[in-house]
Amino acid sequence: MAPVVDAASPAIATNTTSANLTTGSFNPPACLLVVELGGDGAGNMTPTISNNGTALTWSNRSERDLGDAGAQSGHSSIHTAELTSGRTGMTVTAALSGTGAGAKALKVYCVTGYDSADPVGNAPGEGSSTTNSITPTIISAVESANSLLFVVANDWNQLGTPASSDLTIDTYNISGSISGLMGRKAGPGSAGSSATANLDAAGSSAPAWNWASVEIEPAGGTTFNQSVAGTVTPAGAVVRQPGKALAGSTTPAGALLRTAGKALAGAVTPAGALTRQVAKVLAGTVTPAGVLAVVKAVLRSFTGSLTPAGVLARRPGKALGGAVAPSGAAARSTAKTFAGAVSPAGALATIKAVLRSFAGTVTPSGALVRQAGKQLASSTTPAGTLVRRAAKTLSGALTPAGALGTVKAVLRSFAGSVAPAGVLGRRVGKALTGAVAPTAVVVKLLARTLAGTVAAAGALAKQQTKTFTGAVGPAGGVAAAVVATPPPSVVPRPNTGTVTRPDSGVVHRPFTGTVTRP
Amino acid sequence: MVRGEQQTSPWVWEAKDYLERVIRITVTFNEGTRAITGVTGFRDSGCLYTKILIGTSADGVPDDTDKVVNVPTGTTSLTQGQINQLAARGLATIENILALQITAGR
Repeated sequence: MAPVVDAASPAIATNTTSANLTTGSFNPPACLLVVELGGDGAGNMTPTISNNGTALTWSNRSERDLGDAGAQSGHSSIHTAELTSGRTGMTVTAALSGTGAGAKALKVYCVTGYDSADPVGNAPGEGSSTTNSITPTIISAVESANSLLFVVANDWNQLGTPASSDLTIDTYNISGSISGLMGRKAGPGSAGSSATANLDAAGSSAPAWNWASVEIEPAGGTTFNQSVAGTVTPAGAVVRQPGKALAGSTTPAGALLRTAGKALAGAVTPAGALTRQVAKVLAGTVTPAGVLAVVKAVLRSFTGSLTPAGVLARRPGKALGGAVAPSGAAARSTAKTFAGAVSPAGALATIKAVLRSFAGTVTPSGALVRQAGKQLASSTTPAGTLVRRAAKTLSGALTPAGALGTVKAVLRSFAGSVAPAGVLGRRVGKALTGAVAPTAVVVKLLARTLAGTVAAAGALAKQQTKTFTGAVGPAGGVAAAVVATPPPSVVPRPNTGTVTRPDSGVVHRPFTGTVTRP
Repeated sequence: MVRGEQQTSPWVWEAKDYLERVIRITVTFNEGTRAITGVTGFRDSGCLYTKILIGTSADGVPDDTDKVVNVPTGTTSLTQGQINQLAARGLATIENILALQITAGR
C-alpha cells in the first residue's frame, strides 16, 4: 500500500522576513514528518528545521539554490524526521540563513504507511528552469512501485500563484518576494521507472524555478497492479462483484451468491446452484448443471405497457423446440406452446385444459357441466359400462361388449324442434331382423310389425287386433272374445260332419253334428 | 505582481487541508494610505482549519497570537468593529499584516 498524508498535517505557514517561521500546533500520530521549505535568497542558503518538545533527528534529503551549479536565485529543500510515537501540540520551525535570506514558506506533511527501514528513495531530484510551464523529471528511477513523491518549487521572480496539472499542491505568493508550490503525487506503478511533475508559473513571463523532490517508500512488501487479460477462474465463491467486465469465460467452482450488473461475452457454466440472478445479460448460453430451486424470472423487453384484463395467477411461458417427456405427473400446465410431441409417461391426475383461440366471445345459454369433444377416426370399443355419453359422433361401429345398464340416449339430428302433443311415456322403437320371444306377459301396447310368427306363451290380457297370415293357436284360455270376420268365401269347418253354408244368417257351428246352410 | 513590487489591493492568503479543502482570507485596503478597509474570510465545508492566525505569541507559538480571524463555513465579512479590534492589536495597515507570519489553525 502507498504512503498517505495524514489529516493531522498542519497548514502552510508563510512570512515576509528572515525571522524564523513556525507552523500552527498539530497532533501527529506516529509518522514520517516530511518538511518542504521555499525561501528567498541570493546565495548558498542554509536551512534548519527544528521542533518543539523532544527534538527529532531531521535529515536534509534534497536542496536547490545558488549553491548548486545552474540554479536560480531562491531556495527549495525537503527534510524528513521519523516520529515513532504520536504527540500533541507539536510545532515545527524553519530557519533560513545566507545571502539575501528573507521570506519563507513552510509545509509539514505527516506521512503514514512508509517503509520505516528505508523511508526515502535513493534517487532524490533537483533542478532549475526559466520556462513558465515545465514538466521536468523529478525522480530518474523510483526505487519502489506505489511510492509517494514530494516536490517543492520556488519562483524567485514571484510571478504570482502557480499551478500544476498533476500535483496536489499548497501555494504561496509572498508580496514583493517569492511565490511557489509544495506538492505531492503518487509514484509510477513499477520500480525503476522515472517520474515527472508539472510546474506552471503564473502568467506567461519567465519564472526563476528552483525545485527539489524526494521519493517516500511504501511500507514493507511488494504491491503489484496486475491487469488480467485472460480468463478468471475463482476457486471459491464469488461473493460480490459489481461492475466487472470480462473478455473471457467465467467458470466459478462455487456457488454464485450475488451477481449484479455483469456483462459477459462468453458462456457461463456454473457448477453450483443459482440462487439469485438479477439483471444479467448474456450473449452466450447458460447451462446450469444443478437444480433450479426457486426460479423467479422476470423478463421484460417491451416498450409499451402490459395491462392484463384478467387475473394472472401464474403463467410461465416456455418455448420448446424439441419434445417434452415428463416422467412424473403434470400437475399444472398453462399456456405451453411446443413444436414437438408430448408423451407423458405417467397418469394425468388432473387435467384442466383451456384452449381459447377465437376472436369473438363465447356465451353459452345453458350450463356447461363437462363437455369433452373427441373426434375419432377409428372405432371405439369400451370394455366397461358406458355411464354417460354425450354428443359423440362416430364414423365407425359401436359394439358394446357388456349390458347396457341404463341407456339414455337422445338422438337429435333434425333441424326443427320436437313438440309432442301428448305424453311421452316411454316408447322404444326397435328395428329387429330376428324373432321376438317375450317370456313374460306383455303388459304394454306394442305396435309391431312382424315378418315371422307370434307364439305367445302367456295369457293375452288385452285385446289385440291383429292381422296375420299365419295360424293363431293360443295354448291357454281366451279371455276376451275373439272376433274374426272371415271373408265370405270362408266356411267355418265343424269339427266333424258336414257344414252347409246358409244363404243368409249366421251359421253357428255345432261342436258335433251337421249344419245345413239355408 | 512581481518581485519587488508593492502589494496591491486586495491581498489574498489561503491554505488547504489534506483533502484540499480551503480556508482563505481576503484583505482590502486603501492603496494610498494602506489602511485596511475590509476583511473577508472563506472556508470550505469540512475544512479542518477554522481560523487564520496572524503573528505569534511572545514565545513564538502561532496558536497563542492575539490576532485571530475566526472563519465559519462559507463567506464571512468582519464588521467594522472587528476590524477596529484588529487595528488595536496592531493590524491597521496591510504592511502590518505582511510583516507577520501567517498560518491557519484548528
